[in-house]
Amino acid sequence: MNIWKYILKRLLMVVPTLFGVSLLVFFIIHLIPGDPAQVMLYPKGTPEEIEALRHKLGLDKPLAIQYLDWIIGAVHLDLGTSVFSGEPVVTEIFRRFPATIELTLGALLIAVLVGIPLGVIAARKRNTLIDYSCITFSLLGVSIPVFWLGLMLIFIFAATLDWLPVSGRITMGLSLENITGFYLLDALLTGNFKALGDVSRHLILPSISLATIPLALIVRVTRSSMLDVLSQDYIRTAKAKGLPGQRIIFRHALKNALIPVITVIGIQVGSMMGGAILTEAVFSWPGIGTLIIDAIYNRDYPLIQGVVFIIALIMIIINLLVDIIYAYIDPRIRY
Amino acid sequence: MFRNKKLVYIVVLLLSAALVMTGCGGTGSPPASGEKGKDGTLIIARSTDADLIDPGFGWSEGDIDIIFHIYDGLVKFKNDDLEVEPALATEWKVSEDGKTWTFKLREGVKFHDGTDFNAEAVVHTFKRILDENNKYYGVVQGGYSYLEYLMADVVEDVVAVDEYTVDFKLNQVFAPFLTYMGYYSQYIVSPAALDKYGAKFPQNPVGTGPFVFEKWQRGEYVQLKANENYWGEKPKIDTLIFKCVPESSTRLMELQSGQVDVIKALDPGQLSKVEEDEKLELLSVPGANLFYAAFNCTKEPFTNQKVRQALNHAIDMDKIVEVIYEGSGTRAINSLPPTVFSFDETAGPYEYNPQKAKELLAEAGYPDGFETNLYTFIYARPYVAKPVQVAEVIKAYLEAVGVKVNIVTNEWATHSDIMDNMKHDIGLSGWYDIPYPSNFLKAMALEGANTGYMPDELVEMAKAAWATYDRAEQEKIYKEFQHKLYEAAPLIPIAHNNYTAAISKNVKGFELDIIGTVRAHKAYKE
Repeated sequence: MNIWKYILKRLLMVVPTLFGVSLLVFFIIHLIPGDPAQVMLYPKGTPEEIEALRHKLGLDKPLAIQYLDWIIGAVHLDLGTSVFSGEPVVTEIFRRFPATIELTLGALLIAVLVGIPLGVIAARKRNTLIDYSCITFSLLGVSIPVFWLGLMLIFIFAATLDWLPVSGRITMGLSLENITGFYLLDALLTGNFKALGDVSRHLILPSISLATIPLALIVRVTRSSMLDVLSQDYIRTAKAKGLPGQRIIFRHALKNALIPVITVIGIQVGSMMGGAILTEAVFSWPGIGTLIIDAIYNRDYPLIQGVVFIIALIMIIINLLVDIIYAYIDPRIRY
Repeated sequence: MFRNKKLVYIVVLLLSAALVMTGCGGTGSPPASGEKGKDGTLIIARSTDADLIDPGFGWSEGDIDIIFHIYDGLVKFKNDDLEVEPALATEWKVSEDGKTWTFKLREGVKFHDGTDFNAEAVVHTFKRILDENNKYYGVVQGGYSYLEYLMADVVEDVVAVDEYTVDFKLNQVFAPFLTYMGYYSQYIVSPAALDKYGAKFPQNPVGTGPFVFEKWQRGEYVQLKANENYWGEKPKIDTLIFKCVPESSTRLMELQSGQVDVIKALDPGQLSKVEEDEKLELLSVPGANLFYAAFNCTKEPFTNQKVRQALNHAIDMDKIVEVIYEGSGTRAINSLPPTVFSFDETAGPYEYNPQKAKELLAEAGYPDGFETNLYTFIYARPYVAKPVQVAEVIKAYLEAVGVKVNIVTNEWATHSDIMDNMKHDIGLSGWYDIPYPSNFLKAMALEGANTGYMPDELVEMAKAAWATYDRAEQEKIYKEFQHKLYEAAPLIPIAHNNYTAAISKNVKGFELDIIGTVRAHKAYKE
């Protein structure tokens, strides 16, 4: 099958997948006890007042009708209105997503640029002190609670050494015109280099904190995949031909070893998009993670529904991209 | 040669990694430390962002703090006893029959958008919520209106008598009326801004207050600037920022490193750290709130008054305040916080006496105790920082007198649902509100406590107290009310949580009040 056909087929599958996700989320959030009216009024409202508010919010309609209303809206790209802020869900989400994407990219950059080299080194220096250090390092990365690590980073680099800001995306009171919502990009576009420096500095600690888990996974997967590839016949042949070592590693081995690494990266990007909740909370990062946590606690149904919908969409797109990248890296893969 | 090259490669890789880890900041010069929290800018870090900056519809702590700075009421609170003094109204009087309040408005006051403050604005402020024929009714899609909650049952009409005189026509004598007018939900909004922004008014608030709304970066911060044309004392700072910092440890480090000037809502464990830090000052005020355990009085065995009294005797509340509130609170005597008018210290408390508890249980027919469920919730609320730990301590005390307790923990929304539908046996809950006795006694202890205990006698007493402007008369009724509630014991009053904030020592004139809101109107930095 031709790759374009494959992409088209995968894109068509997005529709039933999203439909399934939305249906599932809708009924799960309505099944758990507690609704927005109770959150707002308890304990001050009488049962009649709570009922009146439910009516006002349309929560007294049958579930099937509520779902139908939502899905009809969604088809028209209208994900409803947040119960608590009264603003369109789409607006709420697009206001928060740039922060999360900026943070995810920062973390990804660190994880890839540090993780792959460490993995390669560990594989090359198998069973040496360097290898053991890399393994220990990556074990620490997955074991350290992100929450604790974040607070420690703040304590050391911000509160004690005063090298970096404690939390947030930008120093309060510093002016930066909001064009795209991506502060780094906005600073570049407006030529505001003071803000650019400030925003970069704010990005460092949360990125490191968020990078630890993907970084550790990348080190381990790169290492084992490299070991596997290095024992292949064609590597032996290359060595026998007298090719220089680093050329064997980077030209012949690494490229082939990258397939599982890219799978891991893809999955990690997806989970960072929706799962950076702890990092966002520790660093007061106004992203999608803190948004969805508040939405769940408040039972802000349209907002929960909307965020999950968008995250699902992103996961699907990332998976598709990963599959396409496979074909690019390994020409033997055909769709 | 070959080996060397490889080494070079590794070194380059490690260097580039190190660069990424530490070097991104190279793109710009860091702000000089003198710039942090520039003079004239006061930054307050709170756990939440605002939702709706609109007096009519805002209801969370995140909203109320900000509304008090952007808006003014006809009157304002003079002190913690909630005595009022003139604000947008210069004088007022109540009619002979007590049902019409007439306010003379301050002349020459302008909203932040430049339009005039007048009687028309007052009328629309109230009628946009109370009168569905008003042209601004339903313009803002807020779910819940506190103004409606406080006023809808009593206010019949609001009439502009002339440009600067307004009449409020009530359907009864309503004791808390003037006090309520000083509360945020009755603050006056600009009709011109309602015209201009429509449904987006809460995101573009326009009032007459000491600060003007400037910018709201959702989830991040709300920025206000001083109102140069303020009718009263002008603010001493230029910019006021409410920054959202959800994690309490991060908040404290923000303050310690000087990146913010004030932090709100400290964890009990942080209090001593702040006190020890010579650059910081701790603000702690006895809060007008109540944390309690509600009995489901419609269910066995809590239909029995003796059982309820027994369990009140079984728990050492002082210990809870000492250990879990870490001293940052006071034990509750009865349902009314001691800071509130008419509080009667003789109406309670039940002394800690496990022996007596056992005797009462035996008298009630439960010599061997019984088994019950105690419902609690995760995460702090304004009246308690550690609700799960309180439940665990209560369990230990109750089991000591033979009552077997199963703790059921939920997050808040689920917990509200259980309490609301009276599915609990004993449920932990709390209340914080404008500290008028009727709120804590009638609205909370009878209607809102989820005890199912609502005898006609007490309801009538609460109504009688409402229907007189005579403070002495009110006090008499409320004191008797407290005694009756104490006897009946439909709930276990546990504690009143202190509201806390920490400020840098160079911040002066900053206030934290008994309803837990911050006031930066008169704040300045040395």
